[in-house]
Amino acid sequence: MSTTDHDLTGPAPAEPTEPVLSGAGRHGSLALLTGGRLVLALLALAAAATAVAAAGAHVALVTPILGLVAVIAVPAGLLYINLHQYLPEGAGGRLLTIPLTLLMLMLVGLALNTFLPLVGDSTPLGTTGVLCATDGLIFVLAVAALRYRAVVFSVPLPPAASTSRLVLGGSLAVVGLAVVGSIRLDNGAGGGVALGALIAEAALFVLIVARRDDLPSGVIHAALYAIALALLFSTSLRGWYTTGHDVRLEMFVFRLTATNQHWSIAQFRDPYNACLSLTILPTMILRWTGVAAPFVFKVFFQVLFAACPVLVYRFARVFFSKLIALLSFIYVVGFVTFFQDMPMLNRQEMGYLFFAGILVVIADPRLSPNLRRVWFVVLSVGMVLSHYSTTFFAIGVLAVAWCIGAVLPFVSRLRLFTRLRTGIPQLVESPRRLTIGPVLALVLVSFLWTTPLTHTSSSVGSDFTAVVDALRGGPGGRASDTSFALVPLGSTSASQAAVDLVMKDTNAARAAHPDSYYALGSGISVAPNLAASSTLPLTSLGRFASKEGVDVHEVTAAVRRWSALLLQLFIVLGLAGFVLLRRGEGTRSRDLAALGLAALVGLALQVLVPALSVQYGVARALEQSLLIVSPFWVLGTMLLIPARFGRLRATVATVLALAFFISSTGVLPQVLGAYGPQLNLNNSGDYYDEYYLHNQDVATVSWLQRAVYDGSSTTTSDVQMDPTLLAMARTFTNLNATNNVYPALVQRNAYVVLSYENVVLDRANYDTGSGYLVYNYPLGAMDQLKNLVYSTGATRVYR
Amino acid sequence: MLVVEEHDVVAPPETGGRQRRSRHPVIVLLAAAMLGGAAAVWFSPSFRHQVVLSTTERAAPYDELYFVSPTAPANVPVGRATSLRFTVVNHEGRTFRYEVSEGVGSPAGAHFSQVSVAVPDGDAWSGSVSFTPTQPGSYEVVVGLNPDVQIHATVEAGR
Repeated sequence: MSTTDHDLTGPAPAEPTEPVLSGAGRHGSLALLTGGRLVLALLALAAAATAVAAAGAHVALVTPILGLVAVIAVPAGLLYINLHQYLPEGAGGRLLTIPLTLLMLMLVGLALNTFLPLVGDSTPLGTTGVLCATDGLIFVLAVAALRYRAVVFSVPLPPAASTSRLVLGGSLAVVGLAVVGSIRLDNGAGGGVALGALIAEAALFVLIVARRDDLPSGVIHAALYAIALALLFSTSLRGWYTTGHDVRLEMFVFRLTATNQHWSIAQFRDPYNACLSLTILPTMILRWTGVAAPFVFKVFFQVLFAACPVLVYRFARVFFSKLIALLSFIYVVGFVTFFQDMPMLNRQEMGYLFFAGILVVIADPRLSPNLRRVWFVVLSVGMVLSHYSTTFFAIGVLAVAWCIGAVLPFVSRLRLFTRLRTGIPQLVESPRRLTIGPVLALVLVSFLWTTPLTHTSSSVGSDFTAVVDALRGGPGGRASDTSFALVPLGSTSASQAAVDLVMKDTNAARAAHPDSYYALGSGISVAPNLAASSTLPLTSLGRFASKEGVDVHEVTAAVRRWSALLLQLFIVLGLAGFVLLRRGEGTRSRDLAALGLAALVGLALQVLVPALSVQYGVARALEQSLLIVSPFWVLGTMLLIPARFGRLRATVATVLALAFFISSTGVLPQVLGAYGPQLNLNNSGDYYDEYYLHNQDVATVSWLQRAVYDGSSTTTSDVQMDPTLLAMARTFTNLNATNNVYPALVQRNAYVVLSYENVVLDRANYDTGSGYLVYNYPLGAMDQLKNLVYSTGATRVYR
Repeated sequence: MLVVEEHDVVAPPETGGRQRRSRHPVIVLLAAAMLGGAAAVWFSPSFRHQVVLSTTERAAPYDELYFVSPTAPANVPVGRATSLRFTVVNHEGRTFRYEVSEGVGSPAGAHFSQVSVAVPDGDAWSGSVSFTPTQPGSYEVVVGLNPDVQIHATVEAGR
């Protein structure tokens, strides 16, 4: 059954239909097991995990790993046995069992949450309910899988070839290094190991690219998964508490469900709370694994999400050579949003998993049309339950792609294109797998979930109104990450606009309640004293370069600027080449071209309509688009070299991809210095300053809760807290406070809580509605005006 | 996960049993050398410190100092004895000896004293600052610890 994959230029060949082997035993690098034995093995694992979880025994590493196996791997394995005939063939189908299992868990949890209260159980998502329901699901799947007890399945054994062993060993090493690197940083040590992990990931990737024709696809998938996981861990494991922007509110809604052992949208009617990926799913994983709540997101969600780029690799592999698919992968995971922001956007991680699954289903040439529709709709349900914005962007891209696909035959007949003899007729002739029915079903499911079922669509309405206003030329904010835009966006300084807003708000508040605030002067003014961003010191290499007359900061800044510019140019160039060239790289596909064009339309709207960029963010839209268009990025770089220089072309494309990876992940600024520090490599920088929760912060908030809130009717105006500290405090308490410590707005009778960031780093944040304005904090003035009633040296409470 | 290798490369056949057997002494020697090396570095305190630093949480040490009642008394009559209780909590990861300085700055001048207390890790120690206002005005109560931690409160005294 073994075939080799020596395709340098073409897409993946057809994979063999499974199962094709007969008789249990050993077959080369595969162990052959009957379905019956596999079911028994999986049931044994589930039984062991149930016994450990039910007993409440917590053995470090053993209990969490066993729990994760029981709640994810066992149902996924049983699902695969049951559905192997209906899933996309090969690795794509096997990987699809991950999002499908997540959907099953969300639906089982939702059923528990809905029906157990009807029979008097007010805590349906407690340990007993979750364990029994998951075991019930496993039992049903196991009984159903017994239909295939005589069918032989294969399980991979450690490969014999030394290159494969080297790659697998390297895969384990990069994950281990990333974990150790993060822990060392969290313990206050340097970032050397974390930097080593990134360099090792780049080296492993070079090895995979160089030996791609010798490596079994399973080994390549495992190595790509390891690189993705290592990158995610390098950020997600920063800090012993919840670290990051969106994850703070994500933890809040997760805690709400986990603590109440019941999910209710009425408790907190917000789109976050409508994401079952943040409420029911993590609660079920928590019950099985018994870890501290933040580590469900920090570890287990990353373990699941790391499969997403591998799915994207499989998607690209349907159309392109192994080299192009591999380079697409490195662009997806090397883009800063992937490793720096996605671990802070757990609902979106789950949404992307389902979206990537939909792409694989659309692309798979061997699925029947009916099966494709079924899987599309099933995965759409998962995406809707996981994340609203991913769903809305997906609806836009898929609908526009369908329209483009429908229009393309007419375009191909235009005289301009017939004269130019473009590749469009070839695209038109390719089979069309993206149909409108499933897209409409996705719209319907999304509407049902956000409107009649959870009533959380009001934000969609306000977003739509803002977009319409913006299109009419009205005012609107703009996300800071529109810096990814190809065209400079106006000359108004965003920070000056924010300063103006702060002063206007402050003057208005002081005029309305003049007696509530302290008099201006002696360190207190209406105008903020803006804080400067931190910068890495020059390294020895940076000093050497500087002595030679190189402006080190400008070098890194230029690389970053040009990366942002070139990535967009290469994507446009690659897509244009794919559509127009008759003899371009890859399989002609109308669906792929239409999806690529639709993703670009979505991105262009994000950049040009400010209100959209505030609601979703250009960087996040670009990351979601990259799941589709990353192969075009590679194609764009390949078009730099004529096709007849095939080896040089491949080398240049690989070098450019690696250069992007090294710059984006922080290796370049780290080895030179004189640039903004990144959280995955340093205990400094904007993300560290704003989002890193320190022991002293936790102690201070806990004291406040005991000393001030305990049994009292403290109102919001009694306590003032920096918005970043308040957001983080909500991940482990139910505190309520005014999210502002701006000196001119400090009230005479209020407690003022200053965080590690405020006291040690001399930075405070003003929430302007579309971001934070960062300013220096006048501690001396506060000492003169108020009593300092609590201090850890690094944090303070004034009264 | 159940996997079929879709485009597997056929592994080269194993070389003869004799060759494999001949590798055994080398492998044993290498393993022994590695074990010996590992044992040597394990007994090095700095190596052990690095291992701990790389694998387990090492909480940053700190101390808490606070007034037991966060709202200072307002308008204390002259001549009435006043006391502000405070607490020190040790999170240094070991028993720590604090030099606690406490005092009152008043219209008549300042008076400070210092006590030395040993507090086990995780434990708290409480003390108090007492004074009697002798004339109207602001009385500044200050408590400080030897690591740079300080709290203060102003008490107004009147007739």
